[in-house]
Amino acid sequence: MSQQPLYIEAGGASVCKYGEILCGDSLSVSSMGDGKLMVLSDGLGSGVKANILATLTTKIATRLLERGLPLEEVVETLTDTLPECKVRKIAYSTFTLLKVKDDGRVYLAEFDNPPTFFLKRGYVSQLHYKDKVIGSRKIREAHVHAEAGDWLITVSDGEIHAGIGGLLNLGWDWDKIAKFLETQVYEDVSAQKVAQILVDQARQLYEDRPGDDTTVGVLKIRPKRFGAFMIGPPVRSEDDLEVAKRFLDLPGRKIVSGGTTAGIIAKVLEKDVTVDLSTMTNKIPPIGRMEGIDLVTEGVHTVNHALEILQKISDVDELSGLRDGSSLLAKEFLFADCIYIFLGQAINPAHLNPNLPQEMGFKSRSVQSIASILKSMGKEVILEIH
Amino acid sequence: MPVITVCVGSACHLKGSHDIINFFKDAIKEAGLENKVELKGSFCMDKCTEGVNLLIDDELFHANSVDEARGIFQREILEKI
Repeated sequence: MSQQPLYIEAGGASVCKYGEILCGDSLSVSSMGDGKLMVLSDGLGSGVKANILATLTTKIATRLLERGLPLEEVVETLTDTLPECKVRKIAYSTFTLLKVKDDGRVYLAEFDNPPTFFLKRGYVSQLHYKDKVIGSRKIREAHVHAEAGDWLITVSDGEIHAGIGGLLNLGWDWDKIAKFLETQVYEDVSAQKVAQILVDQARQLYEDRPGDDTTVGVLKIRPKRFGAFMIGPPVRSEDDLEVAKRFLDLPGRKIVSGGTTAGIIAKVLEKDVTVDLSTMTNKIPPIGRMEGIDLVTEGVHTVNHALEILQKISDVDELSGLRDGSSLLAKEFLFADCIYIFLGQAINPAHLNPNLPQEMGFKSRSVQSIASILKSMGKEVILEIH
Repeated sequence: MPVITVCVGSACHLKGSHDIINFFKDAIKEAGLENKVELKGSFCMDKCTEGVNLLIDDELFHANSVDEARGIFQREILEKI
């Protein structure tokens, strides 16, 4: 059996040292062709200077690693490039580099940052580090294989020291955070949510006056979510069945918009479409139900309004509890990591009626706008026009 | 039991199927026919240019306003039951 494709979901949050406007930590996440790269750096000191050091570190490291340069060159470049602190006469910032490939291979390198938390089946598991000396710096490296359900969580030392000398004598401490994480991490919680919880908890331990910049970066390894969306019948009606069959063969959740389109799919599946009038609002027509299809909606109005929602909202939690077609459609789009869109451009003669509002003709444009919003969120979008 | 099916597809939605469905809901209630007439929705009846399409059992009607729907309800439901 072939392995289920993985997706690496990233989240990050930070809070500034009390009284500072700029954060002296920097977190960067970037997508590489075959995975994700996360870099966390803590700059020397705080405020503007620390912010510049940390930002330069994450930017330089990200760019060089994206180009496939080895760690030695990255570290040498950082040492040669970072500006020297006038007071301390050193160019210094810490870093954690986390490279996770889509097949689950993880490469981790740390310099002077707290060890990364690796959670497997809900428990913090020990990483086997090897030391490596580059120039005058001692770097810890680790390789590990991650599976769906695993988490990698990296923090700046502001997190470990939270509450030091105040609520907690010695600060929050790595082992205590590890125990806390084991109670917070489960399948349905997002990477962003976990990052936010950790930062909020640190802020509370600091009694709202953080003694240091505090940053958390989270990578959640989970099965990749696929979605397939079909709207509009193909221009050539003789293509209907072939397009419908290809659509039904796609992986993941199936979403169909438009009465005629739903009819074509119903014919192929030999199922009935029923309408659930209880989901009707005065703006959005009700949704339909069909066995084998996860969501059936009306076409142009539902899609135009789903576009309006996606222009305002990017967090799926903000739509929880809403049952109208547009909110459900937006939810499907936000949920999926990879979406196939089949856009059929057959003209419905009723939509050419000059007495109808202009937006009736905007279906294709709305679908294309949705596709580009989803792409800008980092999702894979494949748009086929028929 | 007679079944009223109102189209809620794009064109019919724009022409007011939402109001027409609400009219039928109220009218059925007022006449005390909740258990004698069924109200359903449907996506497309392939007659998109002709107004809000609705079926009473298998017979197709078009209503371009709540008033027209009221007339249809009077003739086809109230007078026949």
